[in-house]
Amino acid sequence: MLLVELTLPAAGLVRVSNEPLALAHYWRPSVASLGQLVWSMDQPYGGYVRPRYGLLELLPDLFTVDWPPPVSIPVTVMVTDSDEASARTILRATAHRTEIRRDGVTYQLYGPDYDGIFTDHAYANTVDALFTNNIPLADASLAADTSLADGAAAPAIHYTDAGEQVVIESLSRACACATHMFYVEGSTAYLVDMFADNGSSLLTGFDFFPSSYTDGKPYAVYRCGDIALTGSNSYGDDKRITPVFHDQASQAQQDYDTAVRELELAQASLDANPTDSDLIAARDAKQAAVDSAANTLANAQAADETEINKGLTRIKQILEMPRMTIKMPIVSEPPRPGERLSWVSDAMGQDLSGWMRVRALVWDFDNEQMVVEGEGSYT
Amino acid sequence: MMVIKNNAIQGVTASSEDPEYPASNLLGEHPTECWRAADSSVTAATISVQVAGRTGGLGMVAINADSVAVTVSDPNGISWPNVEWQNVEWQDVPDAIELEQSISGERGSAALWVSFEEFEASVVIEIKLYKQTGSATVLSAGALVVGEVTRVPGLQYALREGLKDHSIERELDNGARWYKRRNIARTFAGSVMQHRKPYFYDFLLGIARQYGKRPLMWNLVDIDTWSGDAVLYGHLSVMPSGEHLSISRSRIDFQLEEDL
Repeated sequence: MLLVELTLPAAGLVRVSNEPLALAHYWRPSVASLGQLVWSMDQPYGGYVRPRYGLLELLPDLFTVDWPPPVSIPVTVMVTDSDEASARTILRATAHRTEIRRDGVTYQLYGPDYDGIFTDHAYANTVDALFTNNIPLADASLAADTSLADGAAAPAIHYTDAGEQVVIESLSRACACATHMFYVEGSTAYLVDMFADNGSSLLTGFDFFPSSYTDGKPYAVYRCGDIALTGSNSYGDDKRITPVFHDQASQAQQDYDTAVRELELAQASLDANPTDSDLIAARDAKQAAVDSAANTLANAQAADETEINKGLTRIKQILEMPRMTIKMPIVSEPPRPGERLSWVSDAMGQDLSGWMRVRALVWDFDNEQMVVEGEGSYT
Repeated sequence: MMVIKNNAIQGVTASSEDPEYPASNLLGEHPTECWRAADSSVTAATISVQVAGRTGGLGMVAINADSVAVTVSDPNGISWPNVEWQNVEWQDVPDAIELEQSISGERGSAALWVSFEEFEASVVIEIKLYKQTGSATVLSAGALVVGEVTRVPGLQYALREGLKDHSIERELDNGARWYKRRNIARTFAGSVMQHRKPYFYDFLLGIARQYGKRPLMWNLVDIDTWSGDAVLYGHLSVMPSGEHLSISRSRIDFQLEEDL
């Protein structure tokens, strides 16, 4: 059951639903429509599980004492299976008026913003460490939970996000490259390895509606900068991963180029005075610097290749897994992002045993269903 | 058939109420937005209804109680020759305007109907609801209408009665049925055969055109001394239409759906 609390300027707290509900309070049937509430990852291989909100359409008689309908209304959306005490809040948002019609007043829902900004931010750490360090910069009220992250298995992140960046967007890009997802629930941001189970559930055929199994687009090559990894298919497009999330070589290359230029200047000075012992010593020092820079550059290139290959291997593994979409009745305790769902379906005449990790959740109140998407496997 | 179309209630109070379900809910258009006693320890509650204007009947639906008693104060010396009740086993108590009624309908959906000689005065009607001590029931009632009664003679049988299910039904992955029960409303469909003037136009224009699909309190029984489950708080689900069958008589078809 859908429960929506609105705070109107004159009427105060108003309780509405898409059906008349006589619970501890009466919930008036004033919700004509509630568009899909979606939680989905920025990239199919990780990143921020971003909430996206649809339109809320309310019946005009709700605004009898608040006419015309206010432009902005605080909204809390809850779901319960039985009573108000066990209702689960799935959204606290602000509704902004978009249209008044004779048969309905439409509002667009806007969720909380995490609008912290940094400039020319340098990442140089494992994904769990950089997440813990940076999530408070997105919003000071957020605490990080990295208990399901795997910084050792994921590639280290080493690059600079140049210019002014919204922290949550920058973190989303960085975590996606490290094949980690994160979501915010309450005041905690949870970082979850794409290969970890955030809990698990077993579904029976009585728990979900007819569902579909799809395969992702095949990729012949996975690329990140100059480094490429061959896909399992010889056909298909190239998949380009951005940004180049491990790039020690660029700085090392600059250092090497600088050292070479300085060596050339020292050599030119020495050529003009070939017997000057000071110039000979200076040229030898520059030569040593060039040798050292060349060694550093080689190590940096090797590190880049190692970490990016590590990341590409994990990304390839995720993108080549079958994708699944399960539709189920709306319940107050939906699956969590990263949760492993397992089931056996006999809907196709033969048993299909499947599992997936949840990557997207869609509350579709108008169709009384929850759509759960993810990647996994079936036999 | 009878219908109360003008609500003559000036105000309503209750001796006990849940602050989330006050007595004023009785005047709303959704019976599920009801009045409730404070809690299950309340074994008797009085609903006091201040009435003014033209009044000929009372209807109340979605009642959850074991029995009711009604007292009509008589500040103007009005007599009450005829009183009718829904359900069975009612009996007069010694005072002619105090009545008791056992509620035999399904809990939460019993209905009460009283029609009497029409008057125009200010009175207070007290509706007392009772339940057995120790029962977990919380006394409650849905919509209440008091006002002018319009009689619609000539109800024809057969009268169709049924249910409209607003629930959601889908097929699960394994072929089993998934059903989410939501409101199920009562429906009636029938026709009345009547003199064109005034009754046909009273119904078509005085009721249907004047009130449209707003809910009204209906008693679908055409016999004064009988009532039953035919009390309905509902609306015309389609606008009625009829045929003029002779120079003076017409038939009009109607469809009603319960409001919840």
